[in-house]
Amino acid sequence: MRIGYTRLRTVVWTTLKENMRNPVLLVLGLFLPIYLIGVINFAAPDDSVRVMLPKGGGDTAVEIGLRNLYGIIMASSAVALIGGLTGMFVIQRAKQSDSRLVVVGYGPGELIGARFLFIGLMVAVVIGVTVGFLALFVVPELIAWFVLGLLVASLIYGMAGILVGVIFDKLAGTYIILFAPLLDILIFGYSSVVNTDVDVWFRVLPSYHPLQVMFDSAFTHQMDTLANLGWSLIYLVVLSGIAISVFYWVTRSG
Amino acid sequence: MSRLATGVKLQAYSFFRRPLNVALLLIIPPLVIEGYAASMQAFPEMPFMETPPTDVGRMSGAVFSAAFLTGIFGLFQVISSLNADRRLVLTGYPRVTLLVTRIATILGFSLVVSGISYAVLATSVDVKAPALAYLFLVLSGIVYGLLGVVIGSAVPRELEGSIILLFVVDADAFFSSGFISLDSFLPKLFPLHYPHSLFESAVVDGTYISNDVLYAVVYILALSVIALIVFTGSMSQGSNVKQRVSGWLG
Repeated sequence: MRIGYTRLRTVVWTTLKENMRNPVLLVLGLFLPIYLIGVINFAAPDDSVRVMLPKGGGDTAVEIGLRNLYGIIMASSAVALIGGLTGMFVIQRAKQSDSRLVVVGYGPGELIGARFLFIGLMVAVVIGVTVGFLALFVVPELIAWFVLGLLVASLIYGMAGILVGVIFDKLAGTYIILFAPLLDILIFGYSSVVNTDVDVWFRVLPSYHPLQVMFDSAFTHQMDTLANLGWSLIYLVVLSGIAISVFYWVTRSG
Repeated sequence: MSRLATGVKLQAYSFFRRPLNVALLLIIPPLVIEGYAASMQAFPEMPFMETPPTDVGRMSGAVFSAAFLTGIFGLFQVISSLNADRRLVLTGYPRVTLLVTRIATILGFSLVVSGISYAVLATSVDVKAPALAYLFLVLSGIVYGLLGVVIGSAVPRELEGSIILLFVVDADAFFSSGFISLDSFLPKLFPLHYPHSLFESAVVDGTYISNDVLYAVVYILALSVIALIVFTGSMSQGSNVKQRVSGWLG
């Protein structure tokens, strides 16, 4: 897979220009996490709940305010949804043009790189705004690890979005990419954070490990979830590999 | 009447001719319902829960899948047929007839999705008033379907429209999940609040609260009026989002 950096820059720049022409997307993407974190902070009671978090090989009980707990769950779901939707629609919109670009000499590697860079950029901006707004209510103890957990969760869904966008049409793809994070984070993820004895299959869901990292880094002074971070990264690398292969195959075959 | 039937048939055909769409309709409700139940299994029976947690989960899953599937369908239905609808209006087709066609299709879709969700739920939960429960599921589908029409007419782009729908769905899914505790009036403003509570009463006690029915109907009427204004307006404006937003801002 060859990559010409001038071409890569050109495709990233045109994708950016195309999306900046329509600032509604950026505004919505930035406002969604702010709105969701704000709404849940307004609606949740000022109570706290005891959550078991990993500590030195075992578990330790930590009191977490419901607003903070729900706020982090909402922030994760918003960022994952934006990642997934951006991945899916960037690929959907670029499908035809990318096949034409391959015909005129662009390498699939350059196109894949450009699309990934755009998704990464969008996710980075949304995460910046999300963490900034979340900090008004809860400042994670280990903020760099927290951002890393959020970033990995979002990129996992960004890659899933690319896969879904390549394989499915818009309606079916939207069904999948909207239902998946909502169930995975809001329902299963929330459940796995507040309960330690969840079924084993919860652990293979995309958000399980990133959420463990986020809660550990948000509410304890020491990172005890490096293994979870490792699993999250493996998840991301495997999914990226599959997404790159499928995207490569589709753009080459036109 | 024949215009209406043609429009409904056309929309139904364009959805159901794709096997994948049909497969998703059959797969998503059981997945969501059993997923909600599985995540509730680990929860103890909390004081604010009057029903076993897994049943609460299944009920929430049924309402959510019926509503959300119809909502996305409503959104995409309007966006994908916007240009064709504009041409029909130019040739003299009444805008209101077009809107009624869209709503009739949503109703039909909601009947089907709610039927699937209900069937899945009824295999594991004892439903006290089946007809009422089914009716309230359809109601939740209609609420979200109308919301999809409003959003699709106001912002006729798939990505942006889906994100706007998320503003409601994400919070609504969490609020109506049944396993978080809230103490604000805010959740009551979300579309699924009343249909969810009506559905739960119908399933658990076989009853319903008249006030909740009233609020749900008012919600639907308000959304219908908004849909009428936004949809008919969208038939004469440019499809460009920027144009539309500048149009709103005068």
